[in-house]
Amino acid sequence: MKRAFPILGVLTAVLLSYALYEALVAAPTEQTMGDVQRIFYYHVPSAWTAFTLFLINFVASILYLVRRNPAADIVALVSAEVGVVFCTVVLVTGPIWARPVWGIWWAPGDIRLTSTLVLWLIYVSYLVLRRFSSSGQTPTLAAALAVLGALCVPFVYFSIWFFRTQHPQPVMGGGGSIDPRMLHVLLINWLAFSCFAFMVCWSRYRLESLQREVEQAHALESLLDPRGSLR
Amino acid sequence: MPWNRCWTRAGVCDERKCPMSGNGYLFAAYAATWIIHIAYLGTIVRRYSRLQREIEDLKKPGVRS
Repeated sequence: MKRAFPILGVLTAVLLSYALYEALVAAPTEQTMGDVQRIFYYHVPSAWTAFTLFLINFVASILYLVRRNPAADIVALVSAEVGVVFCTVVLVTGPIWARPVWGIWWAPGDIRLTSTLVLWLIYVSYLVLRRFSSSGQTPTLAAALAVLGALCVPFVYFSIWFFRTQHPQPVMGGGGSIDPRMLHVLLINWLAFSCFAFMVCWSRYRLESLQREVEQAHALESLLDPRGSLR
Repeated sequence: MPWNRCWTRAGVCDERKCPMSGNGYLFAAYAATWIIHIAYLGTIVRRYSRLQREIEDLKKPGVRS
């Protein structure tokens, strides 16, 4: 597995570079919005990747609540952390697109924008709970919060189907449509960001496992006196 | 390249060709995306370095924290 990591890392970098070329050069220019529409090739795949990571967090949290598996707890933590990073990208690139197209950075009260912000805040609070609570019950409380947070994900996704909103319609399903060449570039970018997210999650999983081993070693060390016998 | 299309010889954005004048916004969005990802990767590298130091301290004989 250790050998596979650098190979996959290089492949991911190549795929990300190709996806960037496709988004900036190969994709056709949208007639109304012009080049600013190309933000869509980073914004939408980042949102899809964040939703996938929150779904993984949900499954891992359920698994932890049922089986108390420490590996599931690490997967839940890692997927939430990387998911928050991708959700941050969505919340930053969205207003940058909205400013030239809508004339405003943020549409106050818009259900899609507000629900995405709430989703981000839920997962940030999840990470804050994990970071600053030292109780033995923290993984259980965090898993319960993650299950509740995951209920927000379908609401965010389907909000543009069921409510009047300024946000564009979905590109797949719903009332939206997309040029096949644009869809091709969008899917390449999604694949590239998914691979990147997987690589980051892998690194973070190894780091967290190592961190827990070191904490166990410290705990064991504190039980021993300087001669090496139990206190 | 798509970002050269809208600009006149004087270096001014031609609003007729590029109604949304989106080049700066496009650059800002892509740059922000990579700044966020690189900043996060930086925190992972920093945490990993700190952990490596802790592991080395643990390996030293007779050292008790």
